[in-house]
Amino acid sequence: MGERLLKYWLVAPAFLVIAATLLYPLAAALWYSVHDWNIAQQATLGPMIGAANYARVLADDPDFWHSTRVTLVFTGFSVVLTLGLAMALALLLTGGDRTRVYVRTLLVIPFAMSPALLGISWRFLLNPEFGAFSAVVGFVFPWLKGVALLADPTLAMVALIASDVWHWAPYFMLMFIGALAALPQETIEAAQVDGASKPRVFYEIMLPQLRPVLAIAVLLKAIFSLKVLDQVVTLTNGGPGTATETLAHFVFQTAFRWYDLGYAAAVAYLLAAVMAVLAAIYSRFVLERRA
Amino acid sequence: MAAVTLSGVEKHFGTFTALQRLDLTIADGEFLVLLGPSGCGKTTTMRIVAGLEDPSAGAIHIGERMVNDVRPKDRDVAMVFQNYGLYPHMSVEDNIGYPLKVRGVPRGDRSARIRHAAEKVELGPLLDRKPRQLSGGQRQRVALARAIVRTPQVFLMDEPLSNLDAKLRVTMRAEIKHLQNELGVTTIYVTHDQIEAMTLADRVAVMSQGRIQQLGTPEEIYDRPANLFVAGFIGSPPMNLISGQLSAGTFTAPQIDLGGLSPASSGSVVLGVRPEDITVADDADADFRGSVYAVELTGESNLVTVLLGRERVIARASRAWRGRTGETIGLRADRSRLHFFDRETGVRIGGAQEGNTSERDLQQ
Repeated sequence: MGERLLKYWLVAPAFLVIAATLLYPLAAALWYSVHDWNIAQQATLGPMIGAANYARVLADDPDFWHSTRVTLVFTGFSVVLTLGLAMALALLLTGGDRTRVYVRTLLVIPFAMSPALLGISWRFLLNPEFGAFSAVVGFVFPWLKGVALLADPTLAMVALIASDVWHWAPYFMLMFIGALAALPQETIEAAQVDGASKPRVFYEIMLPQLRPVLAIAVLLKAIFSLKVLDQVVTLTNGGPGTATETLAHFVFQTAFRWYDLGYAAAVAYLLAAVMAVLAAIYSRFVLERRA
Repeated sequence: MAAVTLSGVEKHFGTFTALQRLDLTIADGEFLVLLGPSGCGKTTTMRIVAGLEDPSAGAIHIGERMVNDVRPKDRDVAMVFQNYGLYPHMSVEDNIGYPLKVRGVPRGDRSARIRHAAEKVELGPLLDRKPRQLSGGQRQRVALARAIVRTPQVFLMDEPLSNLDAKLRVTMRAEIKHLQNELGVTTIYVTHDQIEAMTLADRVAVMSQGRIQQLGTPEEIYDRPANLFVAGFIGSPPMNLISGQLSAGTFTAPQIDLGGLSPASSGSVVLGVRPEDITVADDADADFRGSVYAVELTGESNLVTVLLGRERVIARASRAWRGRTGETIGLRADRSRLHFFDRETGVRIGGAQEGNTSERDLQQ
């Protein structure tokens, strides 16, 4: 066998695995999205209806637009708060002394939790009757005792965002600690000697040098947030009402509660397309611009 | 501009002692060089003056003001770092202007002063560039311009030339000397390069193991090294150091018998003599004889390494001198330029201290 062919043979197993796990579902979903298929009514693929599912999503489905707004609100807050908190923690915990290393290790635990499990434990935590939140916070602020946080549309969103920030902040903290350690120490010392206060050193010297890392962090966190599902299912299940129904949850509900697979596939495809476009624009204009 | 005084300054990192009781006064307008091998505490000393490092004990004064608890930004010093410490995301202009910007100097005023500083170091046409678009020498100039853009009390320079190639180093050395002269700002300059130290300094503090071994003018340090460390560290090629016995005005070592010496003391000593103070001599005039081990032409002269018993002695011969390896030659030492050191303590015998302060420093 020639060397020219050999390389294809060597790549083939990996390619087959990728094709089976990635390309097949993608292609299948695309195929479903142009059919009318409700599996409650029929077990086999329904009639081909072209772009009708897509037309319905965009032109005639207020629930979709509602979910889009919910997702954007969730994404906006969770990206800003997660990265802000992660940066604050990184600044506090950068350095090699023993205490900081222990605290860092402790803080990483939330990230090790599965998001589905996280939703369940937060749900218990926030339970108005026996939850730890009500007990502890209610002790300090009595008027918060016994408040059913997850029953209030705004507070449920706050809880969802808080749980997500809690989950992701450690991951980005580690990323930022690495980035801070890689900053040339001399630039920071030079700024101090030049007369800059600590906030100025941070905003004018450190932050601009961290820009490439921050850009990647924003991109990653935005993608993670746009497709958030597990905690939504286990913490609020989109409720109360549809107050926390994110797009991924909307797709999930459409497919597995209303069994409208064709329509769900179309929504999922739109979501994926929007994220792909976002990622492309972002990587072109933000990641490639060198500091 | 101000004098800088370090009194009883110590620095410990865990169990490691970086500085042991350092007393040092740098006069107003003086150019002081801290010279020593790596790990001797010279950079630590400078960083303590800058406020980037806190002393474990002792007091630091800049002018009349005690600055131990003053943050670096309020010490009114300017520092040039070994790797320049330029802000990579700012243009050359913004780099130079940063000390003015953080002090709230209005923009118009600022750009005039930036231009002035940039012209002093010949950076005029490069103001729009980013640091990464500059060569090492140009980056060095930006760092210098950033230091001179305002008139600080003290300049601190931490091995500023060590990343430049040899030729550029010589040019920049002259520029730094010229600038310091012109501006008259008190300067502390850290280097491990003795040529830099000798050429730039008003006074040199030779440091080793967290102590000042000798403090004096370049001449004093070269002509009257206070101890074996300084004797061996200063000079290139280094001073010949030969262990032997001194008694009744005669120094003896294997194959060496040097009489008619003035020091009255006796005992185990180390004789120090610089290569340029030993000449190749006719048999009649020779103090000692040995076989040629190597001859190196430096351009201006020949360095001749001669085997004398166990020792290798380097002598400087004229550039016209020709000798073969293995040949036996005679050498003559200039009696007025011999140095003797106590072999136990390493301290100079016969007073290194005419008019300088090294003995006091040694006894700290």
